[in-house]
Amino acid sequence: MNTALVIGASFGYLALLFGIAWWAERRGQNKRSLVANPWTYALSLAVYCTAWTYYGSVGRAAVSGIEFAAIYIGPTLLAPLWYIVLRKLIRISKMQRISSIADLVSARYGRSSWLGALVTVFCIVGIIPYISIQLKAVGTSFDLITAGPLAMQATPLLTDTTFYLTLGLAAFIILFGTRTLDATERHEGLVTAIAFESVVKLVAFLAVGLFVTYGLFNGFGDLFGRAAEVPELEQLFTLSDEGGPVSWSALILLSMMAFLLLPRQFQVAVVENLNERHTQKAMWIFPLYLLLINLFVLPIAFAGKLLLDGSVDADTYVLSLPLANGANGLALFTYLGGFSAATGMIIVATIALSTMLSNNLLMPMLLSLPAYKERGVQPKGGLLLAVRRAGIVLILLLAYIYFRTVSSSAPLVSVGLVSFAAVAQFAPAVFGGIYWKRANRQGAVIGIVLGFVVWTYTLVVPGLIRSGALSPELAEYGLFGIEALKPQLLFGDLGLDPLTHSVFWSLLLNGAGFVLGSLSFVQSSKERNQAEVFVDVFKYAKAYESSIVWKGTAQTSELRRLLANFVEPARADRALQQFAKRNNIDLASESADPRLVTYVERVLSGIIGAASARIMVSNVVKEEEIQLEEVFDILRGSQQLMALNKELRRKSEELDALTQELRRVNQDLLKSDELKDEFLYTVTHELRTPLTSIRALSEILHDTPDIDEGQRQQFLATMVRETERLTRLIEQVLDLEKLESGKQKLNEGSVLLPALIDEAVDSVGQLLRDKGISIQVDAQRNMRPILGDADRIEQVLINLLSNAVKFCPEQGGHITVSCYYVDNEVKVHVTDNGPGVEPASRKLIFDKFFQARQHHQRRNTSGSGLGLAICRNIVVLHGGRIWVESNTDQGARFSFTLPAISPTDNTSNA
Amino acid sequence: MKGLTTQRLIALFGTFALVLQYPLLRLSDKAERVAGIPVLYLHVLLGWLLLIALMAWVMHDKQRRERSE
Repeated sequence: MNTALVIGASFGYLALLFGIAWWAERRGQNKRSLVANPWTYALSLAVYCTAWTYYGSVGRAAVSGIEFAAIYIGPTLLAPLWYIVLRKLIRISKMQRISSIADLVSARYGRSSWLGALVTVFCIVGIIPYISIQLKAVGTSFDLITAGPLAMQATPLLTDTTFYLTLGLAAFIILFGTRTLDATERHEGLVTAIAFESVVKLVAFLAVGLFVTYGLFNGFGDLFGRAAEVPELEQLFTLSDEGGPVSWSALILLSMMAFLLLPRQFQVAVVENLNERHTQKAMWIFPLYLLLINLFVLPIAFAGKLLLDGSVDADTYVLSLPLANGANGLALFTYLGGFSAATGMIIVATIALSTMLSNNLLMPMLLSLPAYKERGVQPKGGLLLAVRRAGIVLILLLAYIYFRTVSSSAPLVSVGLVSFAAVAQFAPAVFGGIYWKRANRQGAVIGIVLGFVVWTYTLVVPGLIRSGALSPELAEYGLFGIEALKPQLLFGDLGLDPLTHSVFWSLLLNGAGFVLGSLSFVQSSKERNQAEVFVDVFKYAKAYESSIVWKGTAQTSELRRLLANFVEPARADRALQQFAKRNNIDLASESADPRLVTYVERVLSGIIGAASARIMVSNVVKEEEIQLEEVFDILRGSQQLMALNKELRRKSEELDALTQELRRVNQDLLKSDELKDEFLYTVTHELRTPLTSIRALSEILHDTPDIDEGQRQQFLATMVRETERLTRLIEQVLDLEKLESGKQKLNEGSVLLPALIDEAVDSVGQLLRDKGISIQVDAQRNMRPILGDADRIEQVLINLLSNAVKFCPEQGGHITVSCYYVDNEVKVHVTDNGPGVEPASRKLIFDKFFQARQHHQRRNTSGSGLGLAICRNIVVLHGGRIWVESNTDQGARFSFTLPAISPTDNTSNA
Repeated sequence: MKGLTTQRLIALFGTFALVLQYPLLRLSDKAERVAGIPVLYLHVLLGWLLLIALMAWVMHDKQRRERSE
């Protein structure tokens, strides 16, 4: 393909990245952040997939089948644990303003400056080759697509495209990665660009995958079917038996650690994290991304083996397949996908490493120079930025030089795995540090150093031997001719592949050194303080500002001056004032509050790293060694404060609940008061009607003595009837009052319901005959007696019966009474064929004076409207239920139940 | 013990750490194909997919429960 076109596309793509990053920064300033969502976060995590994934996975798959997938299954398996581990790392880092993995280790172990430097050096040694293979991938793919000289045959520096791309990347990183001094501040533009790159590489890889699987073959079945015919390929359907299972598990474990500990992963997952909650959704988006980008790796590997010449490097299949089939447009897009995978990794890894380099290695070194240490000169922010920018250029140049010189023929994946094994050496110190309070600096140093020595000896040295830099005698006879010190068979043959062998021994010795070292030495009070705050971060998160321990004397003006070196003076003043206000500190006093000292140190930590901040602050203050007991006292104090707060909150919640309850009771009272009023009103109203009639009639009788006999008799009869009605009403009101107030006790005894029903039917016999109503009694005859008040139950029955009579039609009225035993209850139904009860009234009908309230409809019917209310009270008092069922115009069925308690087994209650 | 979500996630980790490793992987470590795809690939792919789906469900359910509170 035309070289100019490819170069144009590469730099055009780089320009696009600049544009996106610039646009995202602009939006971020206008509070329309593109980064503040879990999707961008998950996509930025996908910086995990580098050129190694893009080109190298296929290369690996062509040699050992599905084994490559272990590198992606590890982070997927780890994802559920993000909720526990990653959340804790994020919380700690935000609280302590941690800007890199080296800063984390340094801060945890008492802000040790040389532990931070150690981690930084190892990171750089471990990661530079990894960055260089990204450059190699870019170079190789460029050569391949332009059909130029394969595999970087000494092109002069000034005509090497990769060199200019490296410079372009350096410009990008400096522009968007060092905008502010504060290394813990988010790089919105950069993260957006990374997320965009993740989309590009995924889409490009899927495009190649689809092209190969459905364009060159007829789907997966066809492709795997054709592969099955070649024994060499069919063998890749399974994992090689010997050592396969162990390597598989080792790769999973290794990639789990690398996912959290690689400097670039720590950068995107922890430092650039905006909101802890984003991890919750990214937890499944990111593994899904991994699955998708790996879906077509095996098909492409098989297709390459089947279709391409055996001399083609499997690492280039992704690009060679479209090229060999004349799909030039797709090939260019594929090339850009690989370019995006490589640049994404380079950008983030360089940022992370340069922050470490400046904050944890160069600044502490600079600060220990006599000029700064003794003469009290303070470095300015500008110097820091210059150091960081120089760091970026230095790292990229180192990677480029490594790529140009060492760049062995080793496949992409192998170099990447060596880096994985390097960062895995931080696992004991980091995870031990956040879960084990006793873990200390000596243990961490011993572990990390041991781990790196073994890593170097078992993984790096063999590489050097292969490339001829070291004598092969070392591999054959061991160091100093000692058999047990062979680089790849340390202490004898364990039957492990070289990588697993190295990971096993390095982590074993590292972990043992860490644990034994921690148990053998005593922590300083400063370190103990950090250990407490790290391990119990969720406990201290709120009370953090008061849980830092510091003792000594310092001057407020000195602290202010120190801060102003790195933060704009106006902003520094504002921050100090806010902090003072929050914590009730007097800024005017010349001797500074200890909390102010720790606050300044923390702000500086975010800018120049924990260790450098420690040095700078200790230069301007006079510190006293603090006793371990004091550390505990202060920590305990802040914890008690939090407990007290919690207790107070609980109390106030209880009070709230109590208030609610009171309000409810008050409402109930008001309501019952209203009911009482209504009751009184209805009773007096009911009393007045008969009274008015009696009074009117007696007045007529009184005023007209000459009234004729017939008329007088009629009047007197009415008066007697009305008086009876009055008496009945008053009796019922009294009865109901007694029942409702609970004054009425049941006179319990043995009750035989069928007999009671017969009696009740007898007492309403006259009424039935008067209206010509037929009645049918259907009672279970052999029913056993139950416990109850016979008179009261009869009252209920008579009430229901007379009610039924009242509503039966003039002609052809019919009433059925049934009674039977079911489920430990006795059930009685009284059914009539009257007009029925409207649905709306079925519940209310048992209320006091329901009938009276409806009197405009029911004026002609006699009765007080208290009968059913009395029935309900009696039934409820017996522990039963009463209700009515009805279809309008088809009669009503009143039913009640009574618990079937036999009179003998409840004598004590009777 | 910690909250329900934490326990569910730990259970997921434990279960799939077994499903996606030996000796369970041995069950499908043979040169056979189902629906045209080698069984080992199918095993890994489906296990992977199931883990993703279950994580999505656990986190979705957590959000749902938080909302209803």
